[in-house]
Amino acid sequence: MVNTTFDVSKISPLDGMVPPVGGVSLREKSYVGKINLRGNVESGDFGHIVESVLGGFVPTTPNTVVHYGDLTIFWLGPDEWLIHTPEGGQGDLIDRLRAALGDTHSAVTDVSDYFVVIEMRGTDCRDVLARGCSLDFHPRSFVADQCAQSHFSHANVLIHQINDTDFDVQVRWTYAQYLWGFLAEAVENMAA
Amino acid sequence: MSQSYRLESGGKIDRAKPLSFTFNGKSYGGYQGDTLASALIANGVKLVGRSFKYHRPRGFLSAGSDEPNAVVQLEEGAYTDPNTRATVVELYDGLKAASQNCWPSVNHDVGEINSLFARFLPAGFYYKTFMWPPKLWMWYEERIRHAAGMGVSPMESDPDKYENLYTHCDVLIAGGGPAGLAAALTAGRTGARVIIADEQDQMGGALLSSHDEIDGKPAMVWVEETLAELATMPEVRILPRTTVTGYYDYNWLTALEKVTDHKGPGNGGDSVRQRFWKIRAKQVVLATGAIERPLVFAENDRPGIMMASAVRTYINRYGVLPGKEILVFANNDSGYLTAIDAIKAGARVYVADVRANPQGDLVKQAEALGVKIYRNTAITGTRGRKAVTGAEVMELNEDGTDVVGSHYSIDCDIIAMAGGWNPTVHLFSQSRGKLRWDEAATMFVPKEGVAINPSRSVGCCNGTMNLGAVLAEGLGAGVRAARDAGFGDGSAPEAPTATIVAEEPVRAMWEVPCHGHKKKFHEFQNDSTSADLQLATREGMLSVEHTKRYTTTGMGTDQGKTSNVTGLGIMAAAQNRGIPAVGTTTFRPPYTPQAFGAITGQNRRELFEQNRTTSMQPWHESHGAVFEDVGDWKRPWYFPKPGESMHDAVQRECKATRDGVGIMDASTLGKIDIQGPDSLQLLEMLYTNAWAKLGIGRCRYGVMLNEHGMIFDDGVTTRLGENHFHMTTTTGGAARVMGWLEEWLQTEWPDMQVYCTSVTEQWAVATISGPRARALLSELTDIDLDVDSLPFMGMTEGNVAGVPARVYRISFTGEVAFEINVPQAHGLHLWETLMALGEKYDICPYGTETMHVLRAEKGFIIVGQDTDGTCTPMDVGMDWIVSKKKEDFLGKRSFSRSDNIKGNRKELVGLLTEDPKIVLPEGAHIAAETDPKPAMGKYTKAAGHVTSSYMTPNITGPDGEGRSIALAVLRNGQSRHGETITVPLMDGRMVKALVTEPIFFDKEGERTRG
Amino acid sequence: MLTIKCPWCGDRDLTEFAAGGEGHIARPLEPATQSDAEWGDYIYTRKNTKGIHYERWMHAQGCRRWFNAVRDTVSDEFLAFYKTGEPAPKVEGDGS
Repeated sequence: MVNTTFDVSKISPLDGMVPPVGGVSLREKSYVGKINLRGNVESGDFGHIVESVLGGFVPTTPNTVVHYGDLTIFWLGPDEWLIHTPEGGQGDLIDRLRAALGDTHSAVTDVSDYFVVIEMRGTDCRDVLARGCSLDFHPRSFVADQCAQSHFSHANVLIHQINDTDFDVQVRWTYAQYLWGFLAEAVENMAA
Repeated sequence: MSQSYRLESGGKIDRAKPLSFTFNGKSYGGYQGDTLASALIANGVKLVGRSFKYHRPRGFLSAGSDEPNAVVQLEEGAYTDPNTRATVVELYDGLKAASQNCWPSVNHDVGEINSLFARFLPAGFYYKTFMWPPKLWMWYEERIRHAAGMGVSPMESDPDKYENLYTHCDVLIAGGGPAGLAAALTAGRTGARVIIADEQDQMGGALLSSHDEIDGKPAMVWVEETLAELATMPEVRILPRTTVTGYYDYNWLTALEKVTDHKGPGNGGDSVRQRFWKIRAKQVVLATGAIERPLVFAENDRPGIMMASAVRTYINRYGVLPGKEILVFANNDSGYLTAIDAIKAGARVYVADVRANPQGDLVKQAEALGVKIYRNTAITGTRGRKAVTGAEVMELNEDGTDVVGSHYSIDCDIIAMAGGWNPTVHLFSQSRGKLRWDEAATMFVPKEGVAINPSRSVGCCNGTMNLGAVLAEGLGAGVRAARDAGFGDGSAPEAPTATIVAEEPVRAMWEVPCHGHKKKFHEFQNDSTSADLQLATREGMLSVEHTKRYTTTGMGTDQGKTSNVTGLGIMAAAQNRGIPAVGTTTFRPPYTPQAFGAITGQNRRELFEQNRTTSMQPWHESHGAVFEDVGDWKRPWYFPKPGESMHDAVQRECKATRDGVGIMDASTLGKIDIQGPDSLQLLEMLYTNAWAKLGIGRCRYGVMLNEHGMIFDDGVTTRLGENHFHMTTTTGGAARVMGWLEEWLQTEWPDMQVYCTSVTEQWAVATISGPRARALLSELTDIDLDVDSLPFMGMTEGNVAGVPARVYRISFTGEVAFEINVPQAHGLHLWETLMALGEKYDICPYGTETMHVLRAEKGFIIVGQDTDGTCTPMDVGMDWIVSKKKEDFLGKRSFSRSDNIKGNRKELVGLLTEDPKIVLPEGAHIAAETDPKPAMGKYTKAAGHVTSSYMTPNITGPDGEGRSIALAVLRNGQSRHGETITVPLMDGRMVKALVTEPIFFDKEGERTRG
Repeated sequence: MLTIKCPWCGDRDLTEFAAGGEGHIARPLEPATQSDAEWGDYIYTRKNTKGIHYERWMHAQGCRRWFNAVRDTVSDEFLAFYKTGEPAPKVEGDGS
């Protein structure tokens, strides 16, 4: 038997990053549980099985987001979704999804640490995003609970509009510091 | 110093805000609202620089971004900006500028001696003279460049910040003159998203320099009213000081906004200095105006010889009368606008008009004001060395090809050239729009655009020169562009009335005749004359693109804005064909020069590229790791102890791992989670070996081939469940392999029930390796690590260091090794725990270099280092991994292609140098002959090359100490074990080496399995 | 910069996409029965069309789906976009 008890610690790539001073605040949304879900909603039982576990159908309109309880579900592709759970909630949900799906062709994969989520809050979020991303964030083109995968300068990102002004940006762990640095400088340039 | 050329009143300068500045070290005064050019002219400065080739004295030609002559070095030190056009630099207090291309000073220029030898410096002179002997060209070129230098680049890092900014709009309007403003007004009223950008500090364009009237009021009143209405529209963005510089496909345009340049260096606060806009527009309205053409007459380059419209701008906009006696040289009526404004401002004014008998409204107005007009008259020469002092004029013959009669002289200190107008079609041409030559108007005008770049050209850039028509075109284009973008019904309001004068036609005269050989410049910056173009034609240059390069026409920093069309006219005459037949040169972005900093934006220094690091990075950094770039990643290369060289550190790490336990951060390996009932079928197609019998919890190494049969990645895949696999890839190949799987699944095998998910960053991986690895790991986990429970190539799950983990018994070192995978957030915890508990095992962290050495000892290939895209598994000695039973896998069919079976292939071998201390350079070639020193004039062939080469302490040479080992690819290498080959080195040494099988350590693999 | 219409995500900038070359090249079902010439044709020979070109794209920075497009290689105008597996639409000017 291992005779040591381990003082288990967790880190994030954004630990110690300095938030910018300006019209947009940046903050890490720490340790969100994240599950990548694959399956065919156009035929077979997958859609309804998943619906029974999640409390609602996965979004089928491209680049949209739905919320069921404390779960947020993002469209990533015609057979691919991302589920955000509260911290630590991913393990149980993965087990329940896999159990319910059984032999139904699907893939449920824990990607909680694959990505990091940065919360952008403030009225200038669109202008900050426009300093690295070519998508059109004008309110006529991009609205609350719309999401889009694109690139912000060199980083592949998933951008989610939360409400009229605020955004969350999800990025791969290894690009998080780069993205934070870029966003922070953009915020400060705008404030100058 | 007094501004003796400043008018008592008038102009759009703020006389309450005097500014001081220096030019070539001398102090001058100006006003807020001046440009550097207008302020210098106000102070009587006419000589600002020297021309590129002949170092001839040059002054201001224009008042805008088309300026070829007055390019100056702005500011000093890190802030210095070379090749800046004085005509577009907004004056600020404390500005410092200096002339360029002159030494030791603009007034006493040593290079001017070139001017005396001018007849020996014809077009193509440098090509003709300095190309022989060829090897001296580099020497010549360096000296030519020194003599011909333009400005000086800053040597320090740019202290300013810049940014890129993406935006989208329904209608982008390039140009804020009357046409652009009218378009913005009607487009904006529909609610469409509109951007209007203009290079000047304020909107108005040519109206800023004119006395035109709109609806019976000064035109600037209309401008102000229009701007006031636009300001009420929330979806309209007005961008002054912003030049639309590039027009790319699908209406993607770039624009450079000069945010703080006008405040002077260091005065912009924390703001970015410039902003580079990347604009996607549904519709584009080009309202870019027109640029006046010079007339190509004898000695037309002296300081004081300017564009007529520029003289007018200096008078009306800046309150500066550039000369006391002004001779306007015109071939059309627009020169008379200058004559009228100049005589009203107090100058004595003459007009020489090449037209036989001009009698238009403007001509009559000028005459009535006392302007002396010489009709049917050409300037045939000018006087004055550093500034023009007079001109000779003669009458023209009937067809304008010669001058006749006697010449007479006119004293003047300014000659104002009115040679007609070139619509500014640059952006339209960039958008791949075709031009049409309008013979009557003697101008290129837009003909038709391309479908993917919907745009409308309006106003002067469309050849519409009359203000009323310009406004009507702008208003109409604005609503129609908005309609096509989905806003409004496209109906335009009635255009306001505007100043109208009856104008008579222009008389094209591309080269003004004179007697004798005098230089007639059509391209001022690069000193290209009409004679150069004619010489080029005589020497066989018919293509405009050849002539342009031969004579350097249009290749200056102004990109020939004033010279291109006159040059074409002269070429057409020399070639005896029409201008449309000669063609136009291609207009390329940017329209005006852009700072590299602005294009780069935020993408510099630490944001130049992402540095991907693992969750263990904080430990690596705090323990002195030296990092190596592997793709996007920064990986620990080695961990030197104080005083250790790289060699020392790597030898220590190699030995410690073989003798005890080493630890490496292997988190960067690509990882793909594969799920679905057809996963096995997918693997069978992707890999060369058989997978069906792989048990759950077992791992297998595989190589992936492309369809050419060549290795493109390798890695270990583990069966996690019946239909669930975990694939690893090389660090650099992760994205490529993921893409490869998706491509086959989506495009070729859509019925295969498999999903692949990248999990590279989900897992942090610490690999511990060596005889004491098992003992160490047993202190962190209750997992049964016994060889029977967790054998080589086995995998199990359990808690390690208190964290759920997957432990793979995979080895890239040839030792007992465990790859411990934990969720990334726990990676540092895992590493630190292993280091702490490993202390008593003398655990040794090692980096990529030691990993490379250890695997080379075992002959494990690194894809991309030992292979290069031309290697089959057989070539690298891996016949064993190619299934003979499988009917098909990717690449299999190519094995039997003729080139792959003809033999004589390069095959992987080991090399042991005769001198064990010599480490062969990677990439060194292996000579085909054993005695490769060829006779004079002969060459030896290469039979292969060294792919990996290291010194290792783990394999001993004859002296009992460590020795070098190498891997190489060698023709027919597998049948040449035991032979001695020669590797010639760059320093002349011939290194002999023994060919061996590509494995040097524990050939039976007993250590790995232990 | 090209605008490309992903069949799922709509108009996006070229920088989000990876080009996949000529479309509608099926992997031979039985490679072993292919002659060297046939196999060489499959892996190497491409049309390099001047004009109407049927080609593959992948929305690499977005939904990661492969799809097909018809593009005029002279004007760079896209004439159609369609999902993988859908038949190629006939477009005006297609000489093939």
